This record gives sequence, structure tokens and C-alpha cells, in this order.
Amino acid sequence: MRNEEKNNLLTINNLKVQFHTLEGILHAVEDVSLTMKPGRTMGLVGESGCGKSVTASSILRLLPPKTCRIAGGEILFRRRDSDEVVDLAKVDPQGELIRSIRGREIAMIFQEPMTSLSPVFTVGNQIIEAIMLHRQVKPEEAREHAVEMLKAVALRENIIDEYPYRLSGGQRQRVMTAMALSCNPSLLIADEPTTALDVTIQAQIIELLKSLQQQLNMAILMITHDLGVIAEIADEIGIMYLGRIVESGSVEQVFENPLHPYTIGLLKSIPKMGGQTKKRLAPIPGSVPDPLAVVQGCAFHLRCPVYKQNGCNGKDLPSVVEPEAGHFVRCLLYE
Amino acid sequence: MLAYIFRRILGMLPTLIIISFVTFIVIQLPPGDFVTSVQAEIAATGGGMDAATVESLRVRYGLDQPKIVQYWRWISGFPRGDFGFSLEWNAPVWDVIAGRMGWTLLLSGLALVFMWVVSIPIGIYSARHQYSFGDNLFSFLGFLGLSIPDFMLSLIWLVVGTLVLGIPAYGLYTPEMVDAPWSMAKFLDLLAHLWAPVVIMGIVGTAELIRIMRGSMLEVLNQQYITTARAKGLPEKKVVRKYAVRMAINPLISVLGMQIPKMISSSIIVGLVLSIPTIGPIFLRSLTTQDMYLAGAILMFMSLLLLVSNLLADIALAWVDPRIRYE
Amino acid sequence: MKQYEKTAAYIKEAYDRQNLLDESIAHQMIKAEKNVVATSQWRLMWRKYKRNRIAVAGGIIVLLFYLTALFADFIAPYGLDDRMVQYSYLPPQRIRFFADGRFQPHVLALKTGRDPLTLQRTYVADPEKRIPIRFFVKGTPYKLMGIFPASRHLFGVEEGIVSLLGTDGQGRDMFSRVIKGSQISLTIGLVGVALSLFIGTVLGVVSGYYGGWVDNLVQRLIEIVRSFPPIPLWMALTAALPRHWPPLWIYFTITVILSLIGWTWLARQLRGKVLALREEDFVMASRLAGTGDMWIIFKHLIPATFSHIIVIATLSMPSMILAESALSFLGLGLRPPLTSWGVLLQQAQNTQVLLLYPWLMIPGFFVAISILAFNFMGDGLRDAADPYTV
Repeated sequence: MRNEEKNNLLTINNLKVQFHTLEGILHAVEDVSLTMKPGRTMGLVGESGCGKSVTASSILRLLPPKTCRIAGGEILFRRRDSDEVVDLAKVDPQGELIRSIRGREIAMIFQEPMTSLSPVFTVGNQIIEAIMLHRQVKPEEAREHAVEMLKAVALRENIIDEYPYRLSGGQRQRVMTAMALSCNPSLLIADEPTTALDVTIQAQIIELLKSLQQQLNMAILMITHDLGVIAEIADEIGIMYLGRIVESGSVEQVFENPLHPYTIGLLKSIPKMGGQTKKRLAPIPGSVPDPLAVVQGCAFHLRCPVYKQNGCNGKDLPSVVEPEAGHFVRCLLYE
Repeated sequence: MLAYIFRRILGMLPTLIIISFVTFIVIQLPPGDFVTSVQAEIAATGGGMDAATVESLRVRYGLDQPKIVQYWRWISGFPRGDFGFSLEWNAPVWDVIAGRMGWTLLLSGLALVFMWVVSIPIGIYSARHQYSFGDNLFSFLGFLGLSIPDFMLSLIWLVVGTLVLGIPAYGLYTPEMVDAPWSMAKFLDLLAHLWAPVVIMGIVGTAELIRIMRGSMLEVLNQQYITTARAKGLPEKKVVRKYAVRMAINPLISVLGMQIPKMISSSIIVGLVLSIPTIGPIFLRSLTTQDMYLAGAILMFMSLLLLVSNLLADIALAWVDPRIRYE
Repeated sequence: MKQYEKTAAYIKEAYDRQNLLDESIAHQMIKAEKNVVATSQWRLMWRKYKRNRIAVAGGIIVLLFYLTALFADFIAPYGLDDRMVQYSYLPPQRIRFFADGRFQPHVLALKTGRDPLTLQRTYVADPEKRIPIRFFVKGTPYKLMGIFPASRHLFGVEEGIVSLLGTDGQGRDMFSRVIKGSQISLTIGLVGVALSLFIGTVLGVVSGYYGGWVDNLVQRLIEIVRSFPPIPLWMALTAALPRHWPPLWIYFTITVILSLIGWTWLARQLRGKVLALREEDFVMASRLAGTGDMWIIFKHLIPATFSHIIVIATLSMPSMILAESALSFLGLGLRPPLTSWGVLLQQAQNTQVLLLYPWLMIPGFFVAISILAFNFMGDGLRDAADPYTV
């Protein structure tokens, strides 16, 4: 192991994930590498279907085992107690090891707060279950802890005996957060946690995550297609397109100095507050190609505005280059 | 909850009244009233009832009065436990059907238990191993079960059981046991005769329930809260049992109300073919001999049973699903 | 300016230049996509259906059954009521296809005797005497499809008897009777489904489209019809049919009785579909444009639910066939001279007779096979039409 990796909490190297569907093999994640340091926030951005959620789910091995296969690469995770590094890409997805990590060291919250809690059990039941699973505590202690967690996410204490369907979307997402954080994980994966919520509620949840992150010193992997959310919370950012990270760097680098044509397109498509309202938003032309069809060479060339110019032929697979320190891009124009 | 049940029972009353109307019209459909058929019977066989009984029945049921009065005379007996008078058996309807009602309910109940016990595990298995060999096999068997009519199954069982396996496949007891006093041997003999009709009655429903359970499990397994449960670190077994099955079973409960009348219908036919004293043979006979009060009472009972079983299913659903409970 | 910053600036410019172009491209794409969706719905359904092998097999069996029913008189070697009393209760015969190493289908001649104990007739095949099976032989005259007089049958024998499925107590060939019986068994389902489709479509669509008290009324009606257990109600209604009615009346009354209960399911399904469609843009647009309700219902709603209607119709065929044969089996439905599979099964109702002559229950297998085929077909159609509903 290289020296710099020693302090990393999570290192993903060349991850490759495939879905076996009736129509053929779907290459959901082609080649993803990223590193996460303790207590930092990484944002993973891309359009739907780019593989960002699959990447997130494969860390916890939550992908359907029958249709989905990790075809290559490694997911190195540093255990909290033993400091031992395990390769999550190789563990049994239903085994003891991954289950002792799920919820305890790596927790996850999801996009749909309306459906991510079971409607037939009370909030308390579902949180206490998570606590009792990973901590040797008595039911009363677990309940106390659950109440504490609910207070920490700014919910009333009596919500513990409510059924989820009686709560609002924002409240449910708080409950999910409370549940996810109840065992003090070192990594929280948030898969579009604010997408389904109102703008004001979104901001509250983001603030909540930020403050809890400081208290608990955990790392957050934020999956979203919303660059605004990333700007709020992330330290590092990775832009994904068709199963690959096409650009990565610190938030400042990528936002102020975007390099990849896709990133530039994404940033141009954000409406700017107080900007010229007459100017149309610039959509990126075309749409994500059929994921079953394997695009030869640069995956973005079909939609790239400068393809066939400046000597780019699009047919070669671009490699990762580092034009400025810590800022990586995968584009033929920069090679 | 109690208020909910009370409301539902109140809501059943108008339906019951309409049902009784329709039933009365249906049993009045054949030409002539029962006195004519009784007189025809007396003329044909010389037996039956004496003139005094016929006359008292004529007065009792208001046969020389307008139809609406006849209806009232008939239906007003029901709340008092007077379900009419069977002309053919020359006895109150209740005395004729009480024992048979018991067998019908017993067989239907056992068939219902059989259906649930068989279909839930198979449905779970099929959903968790979608498109596997076992899943395909079960869905093929399910299709077979859905497609072979219960009278056909009974006939096949009758022939196979008797001619191939050499066991008497009909009746409740072997002939020598019928009049024997109750003993362990007689009980076992009864069981040996009971299981086949129960299975036959349950097969169609089992096939339906497997499909429902499989579909429902597949849907539930794709729900976000299943992933949430897995992401907590719960073992797969517990995820399936606590989160998936608990939800997937709801549609099964809501079709329960529809299953019970199907069981009753099935018990009619299976009872007829396999010579089991369910309500079936006597209902058929009452229809062909125009024993109208007997037929009417049986029809009323079966409709009532349907309403009650729907109510029970709704209560059960409210009991397992808090979303319904609080509404 | 560093090289990489120049490249980035260049890309930004390229986006700005493209702006106007995009709009027209996006517009065209949307249009093209809409056309694809509109024209290919049936083709997509068909393609998906074809891939489902079991469903295709079911469809072929259904087709074969109806063809058989259409040409029943030709396929059956004997007429419906041809009695060959000397061959009563003959068990199914074995057809031998080869003789002396050549393809020469034949049956063996039968010697009749009597069992000295039970006094029942017994049949012994005589291996010495082969009766060849001939194709296109002359036999009982009939009218093909009720129009063309003919007397040739697909196959038959010139002497003795050929009986694939045995004979009944009056020496009538069960195979011929099953083939002929398919005409009624299979059409009573069609007519019954057509009738309940009519009632169900009208009430379901109207109830879903208008909502309010109309919807309430229809729903109440459905509730009441459904609060009767179907089989007993059917039994009571058919038992009330006068015995002296002509067969055709009985036939149609029974289909009416069957569909009186069958329509509720269809109406419920369609109502739900229409409720969803009512909110769709094209219906809203028509309404706002002041189109009449009937026009919307017949021009938009019914066509939009058409694939759904076909699926439901296919799936309700089994219950119709089943109900008819169950009622006829009980002696409450059709009666001779009308012959359906259920009517044929009546002979099997007597336990003692059935145990002596078990082949009398063979018509029931045809009921089961036709129901199975319809179930396979309907299931395939449902998957093809709408993959998301269970």
C-alpha cells in the first residue's frame, strides 16, 4: 500500500460493476477510483444513469446479487476498531463481515424518505432495532439512545411512537438520518437525500448533516445531481459520466475552473441567482446514450460540442491527467 | 377500532336487505308455489304432507296474500331463528341444514388453512428465486391448479383413489365405520377421508394465493425500506421475515373475503361428487325439487357468510396495517 | 493563460454557439419519439407476446380448439346421436399405426361377450382381424358449419367401430360427442364474455368518467352483485329456467345469467383505468375544447383501454367455460339435446357408473385443457400489454 493511502478511510480503485439483464450486459460502472479521508465530504455528481448510485450501493454491497456483479477493482475500507483494511469488493454480500460494517461503520440514507421506512412499524421500533443490532445494550437503553438521536435531528421526543406515514417527508428524512447515525458510523453515504424534498427542507437537512458531521467526525459521500447541494456541503467533488469519473478535484477547483466539456455543460445548465433571466439555460445536447450500447473511446464524444475539433477524434479512450495539482480530468483535449 | 367495526356492520344491513329481496325473487322464479308442488307430489306418490299441514303452511307464509306480504312473512322469521320450512323434508330448515352447515364450514376452514400454509412459503420462495427452476415449476403447477375445475379433480380423485390406489375415495367414513361409536380408529378413518376433499377444495385458491404472494413479495422486495433494512446490517432472514413478508401478506388478507365464498361454492361440488354431507347436495336437491324455503335459506346463509368474511378480512387488514387502522 | 485554461474557455464558447441549434433538435426528437410510441404499441405487444413461449403455445391450442369446433362435423367420425347399441360402454380403443411393417392405421375387430358374474358386456379385441382406418370416408350426412351439406368425415371405418375415447351407455362415440360438444362449450364462453364485456365496458367507463353519483350507483350495484356467492346464485337462477323452453333459449339465457355476474370484475378494472386516463392531457384537452362526453368516451377512452379490455376478456374466458361446465355437470345448466362438455360429464356424476366406466370423465380433460390454454394466453397478453401489474 502506498504511503498516502494510509490515512484514507475509503479507497476505491478501478471499480467495475455490471448488470446482467435479459437484453444484455449493462456496464453501470466502468472504471471508478476515488479516495475519502475521515471527516471530509466527497460529492459524486452526474445525470441519472451515470452509475453514481450504483457506486454508492456497491460500497455496502447492497446491489441485487443475482443480476449485479462487481467485475473488477477494489473497495478498501479501514475498520474503525482494528484499523484493519478490508476489501469490500471481495466479501460475501450477505455475510457476517459486511453486516457488521453496515449500519455500524458505514450507514446510508436514501432519496425517497416516503418509502425508506417500513409503514407498519413505529419509528422507534426501526431505530431501536438498528441500535440493538450493533450495540450490546438493554432495550431501555436503546430506547433512550433513540430518543437522543431524534432530539439530535431536531425532532420531538414523542415521534418515537409514531408510524412513518404520519410524518412529513422532511421529518422522515430526519428519522432516517437519526437511524443512520445512531451507531456513530465513520462513513455516511447519502444517496440523493434531499432530491425529493422542498427547497427549504433541503437546506435544513443539509445544515443538519453538516453540523452532525462536525459533532461525530464522520466522512460523508454525497451522491446527487444537484450541484447546488455539492457547493453547500462538499470538500471534494467527482463528476461522473457513463460509469466513469471524468473530472475530480476540490470543490473550488472544479467550480471555478471546470475543465471537462461535460462539467462545463453541467455548470452552464444551473440557473444563476440574479443572473440574466433572458438568457436561456444551456442544456447539454442529446441525452445519456443507451447504457447497453458500449460507446467506443471517449464516452462523451457523442454529446461533446468540440468533438472533431482541435485534433480530438473521440475514438481513443482518454486517460486521466492532472493539469493542476489535485485536479484530475479525463479528456483527450488535455492530453 | 370498535367504532370502525360497528360502522361496517351497520353498513352491511342495507346490503343484507337487498340480498334478501333478490333471494326471495330468485326462489319465486319457478312457476307455481310450493302448495302446487306439494299437491303434485301427493298426487304422484300418495305420500308427503297431510292437508292440514299444507293449510297451516299456507297461512303461515301468507300464500294467498300479495308477494310483499309473503316476503315479509318469510324474512321476518330470520331474526327469530325461523328460517322457513322444508317441504321435502317436512321439517324446519334449520334442522335440515345445521349438521351439513357444520361439515361445510369445517371443510372450508381446513381448506383455507391448507391454502395459506402451502401458498405463503411457496410464494416467498418463488419471489426470492425468481425465474429459477423451482419458481418456474411452481408457476406451472399453479397454472394447472387454476385450470383444472374442482369437479374434475374430484372425479379424478374418485377414479384414481378407488381404481388405482384401492381406497374408498368417497364419503366421510368407510362403510363399516359409519355407525360405529366414536373411537380413535373412527377419527383416523375420518381424517383419511377428509384430507382429499380439503386439498381439492384448496387447490384453486392455493394457486391464486401463490401468484398473489409471489407478486406481492416481488413488489415489496423492491421497496426502499427493504434496502434500508439491509443497510442497517440486518441478516437477510430477518429482512425477509420482518419487513418483506409482513407487508407482502396484506393482499392475501384482502382476498380472504373473496376466498371463503369460493370455498363454499367448491364444497357444494366436491360434496356432491365425493358424497360428503356438505350443504351442496341438499342445495342442489332443493333447487331441483323446488323446495323454495330451503333453497332460499341456504342462499341467504351463503351470502351472509360472504359479507361476514369480507368484514373479518377488513378487520384483519386494519389490525395488521396501521395506515388503515387510523383512517 | 495556461494551456488548460485556454482549452476550457474554448469549450465554453462552443456551448454558447450551440444554443440555438439545440432547441430545434430537441423539438424534433420529441416529435419523433411521440410517433414511435403511438404506432408501435400493438407491435411491441405482439413482439413481447411472441417471446413468451408458453403463451404462444396456449394461443395455438385455443386456435386449434376453435378450428376443431368450426369443422366439428367433419372431424368427428360419427354424428352426435349415432347410436351403436351393440357397442355400449366400449372402452377407448387402441389405434395401431403399423401393420406388417407398413404405415397402416387400424383398429382390431371386437368380439362381444358377457361377464357371467356381473352380466356386463365385455369386449375382446381380435388380433386376427384388422379394421383399417380410412380417411375421408362417407358417413353420417351433416351440414358443414350449418350450411354445406356433406357426408365425408376426416376418418372412419367401413365396418365395426372406431372409438378413440370409448362410447357411452347408448353406444354413442365419446370422441365425436366431445368434438361436437366443443361447439357449445367454447362459444358459450365467447358469447358470455362478449355480453359481460358490453355491460362491464359501458358501466365501468361511464362510472370512471363521470364519477360522482353515477360512479356511486354503479359501485353499489357491483357491491350487491358481488355479495352473492357466484356458483350458488348461478345454480338458483338456472334451476328456475322452465323445462319446456327450446334449446336455443336455454343457451342464451344461460349466457345472460353467466354474464350477469361476470361483468363486475371487468367494470372495476376499467373504471380504475378510466379514472387514471381522465386526468391525462388528451382527455382534458378534448374536454376543454368542448367535445361531447360520448365522443370522448368512444373516441378516446374506449380505444385507450382496448388492450386492457382484450386482456380482461381473455382472462375471463376460463371462468365462463368453467361455470358452464360446472352447472351442466350438476344438471342445472344446458340439457340434452344441447351437448356441451359439461352435459357430457353428467354421466360421470353417478359414482358407480363412473367407477365402472371411467372414460366417461374424459370430456372434463377438455374443459381443463381449454381453460389452461386460455390462462396461458391471457397471462401472456397481460404481460405483453402491461408488464407492471401482477
